[in-house]
Amino acid sequence: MKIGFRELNGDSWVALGLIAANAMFLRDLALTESEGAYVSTTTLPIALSASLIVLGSVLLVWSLLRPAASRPSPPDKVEDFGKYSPVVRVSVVVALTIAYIAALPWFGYFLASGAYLGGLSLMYGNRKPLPILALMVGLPLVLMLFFEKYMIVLLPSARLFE
Amino acid sequence: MELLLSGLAQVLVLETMALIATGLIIGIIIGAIPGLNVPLAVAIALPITFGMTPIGGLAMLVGIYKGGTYGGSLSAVLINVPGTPAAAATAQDGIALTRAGKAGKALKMSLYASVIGGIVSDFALILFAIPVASFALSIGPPETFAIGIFALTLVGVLSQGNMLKGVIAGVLGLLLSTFGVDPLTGDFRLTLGVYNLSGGWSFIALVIGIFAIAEALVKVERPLQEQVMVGKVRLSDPEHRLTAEDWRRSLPVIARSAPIGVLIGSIPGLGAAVSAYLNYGITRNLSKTPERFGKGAIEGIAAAESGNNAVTSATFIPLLTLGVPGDVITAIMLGAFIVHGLIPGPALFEQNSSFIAAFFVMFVVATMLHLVIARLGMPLFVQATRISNKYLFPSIMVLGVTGVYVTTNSFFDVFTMLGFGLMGYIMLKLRFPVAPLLIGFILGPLIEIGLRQSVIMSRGSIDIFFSRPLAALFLALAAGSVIIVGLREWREFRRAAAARGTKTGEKP
Repeated sequence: MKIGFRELNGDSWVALGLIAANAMFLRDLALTESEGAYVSTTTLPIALSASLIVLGSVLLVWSLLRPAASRPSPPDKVEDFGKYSPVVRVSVVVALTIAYIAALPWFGYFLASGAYLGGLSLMYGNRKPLPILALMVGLPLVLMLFFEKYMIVLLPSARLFE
Repeated sequence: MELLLSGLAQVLVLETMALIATGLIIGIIIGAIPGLNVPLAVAIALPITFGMTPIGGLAMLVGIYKGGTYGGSLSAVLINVPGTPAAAATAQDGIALTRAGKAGKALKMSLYASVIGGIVSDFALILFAIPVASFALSIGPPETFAIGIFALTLVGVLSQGNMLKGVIAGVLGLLLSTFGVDPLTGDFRLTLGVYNLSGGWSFIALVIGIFAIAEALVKVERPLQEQVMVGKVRLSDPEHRLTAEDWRRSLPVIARSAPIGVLIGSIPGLGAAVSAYLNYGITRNLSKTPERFGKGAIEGIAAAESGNNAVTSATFIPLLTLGVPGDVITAIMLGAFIVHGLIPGPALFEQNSSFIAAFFVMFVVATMLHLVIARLGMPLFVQATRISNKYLFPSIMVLGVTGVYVTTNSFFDVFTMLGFGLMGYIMLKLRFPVAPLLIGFILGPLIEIGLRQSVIMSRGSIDIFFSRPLAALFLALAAGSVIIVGLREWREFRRAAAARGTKTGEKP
């Protein structure tokens, strides 16, 4: 049986990731000073990491050997996803979220959340300017009033304008 | 009896009733919003109650606790985003019913099972506080470890036909729970040189990430796919009504789950999420049609919700009788007791019997008001299924970020939430069940502390787990559960292999 990169499916990649990450954890745990009577600080994490390496190996072998018919089928491609593929959409939302979290301490909660909501609304297929604007202003405003005035919990303020 | 009647007179005044109702409404809202949690709401409301009468202040906090525990199920059923970790068990079947256009049915069962579970818990507190506290005292580290292992076997139940993937998710959850400070020695481990990891992974970031963010990422793939219901949803429509068959399936389950929830609630450290999952797993294991679970089994909702809510009053049993808070919320409420000059413990029953009577009655009144308020609000809650994804998921993303930030005050944890969201998304795409990950994360500290303390108690011997009857019983139950689930999986695998063989003309 020929096994190459082309034959590795999602499960195989997850298995390889698990094995690699847990090998790294095991290395970290080996360097940790271990204390404790009978069962030490690192006993359980080492056992769990080792188990994940074994389970990852089983998943890898299983994903390569099982018949193609029993493998998870790819997502249906019957609907119109719009201009961009699902992977691009998810990547854009993740990038937007990273930018939002990074912008929070600089632009403050209200501005950053408003801009983020605007971007996300477009990504979720909303093309109506007024409802988008209402969401961009309304939700951050309600949440700010709720947390800062009622719950007395401070949300990030705009460091850039201070 | 006279004491209880005097307690009733103290509770049935407008001020106390209004405070319970306010607490319930706040609790339901907080519980339903992903990211906001009940301990946070109770902690924030605590200073507000200092100026009130002892029973009034505690009434509001109990209202928040009860309302919040139930509120988590609303978002779980309606949008597949559990507001609380315990509600993740409710989401398994709740969302399936909602997608089948039966959201009203799921919401009604969730409410009635919650209220029945709550009532059983209230009466257990009133009638059996002392014997139940004695039971809780007999639970030591070996028993905690055994209960944790028994609950961990639920990973198999929740794997939904993907046993290997479910076990991987469960072990991964256990491993994630070991990051940060060692609970026994205080040493750091698995921090990977990152200061922010010294406290371990944030629980709230994990829950929001793998449920809310992952769901939002799945939904952005198909932005043109619209919500389940477009027209106005009426609870009186046949598909939203609970039938006699639904009750026939659910009542025996509630009758079993509520007492189990009471026992779990009375044991410090276990909590509502363990109860919800444990009852869900037991119900599925005992069911003659386990294949219906996860696809809209009404008794799945009944088990999770009655087990979850039966914990609420029971957590006060160790607090009131022994002065030991059973979870984070009762620990915060211990502060409210002390501020009002009430020191929980055996002396409280002798010195403040009038207050104790009113406190007990207040629980029952709060449960009744819970039923009324939630039932009145249900026609409004169910309309959430009409909110378009275009508005719903951008709002959920912002609520998730806000919720994690206000809970942890750390941007690292907010980024962590996004990381867990991506992990949850990949798991969903590759058909890894996410519930075992959460179960592993919840049970990790319980199992580790139980194991290590037991081994220290027995000076290195594992015989302690077999010499103590309760610990041995739970370990035997765990072994039985593994065998039952393993055999069921094996049979399903054989059946699937046979079906493939028939299709291709080969022998299985």
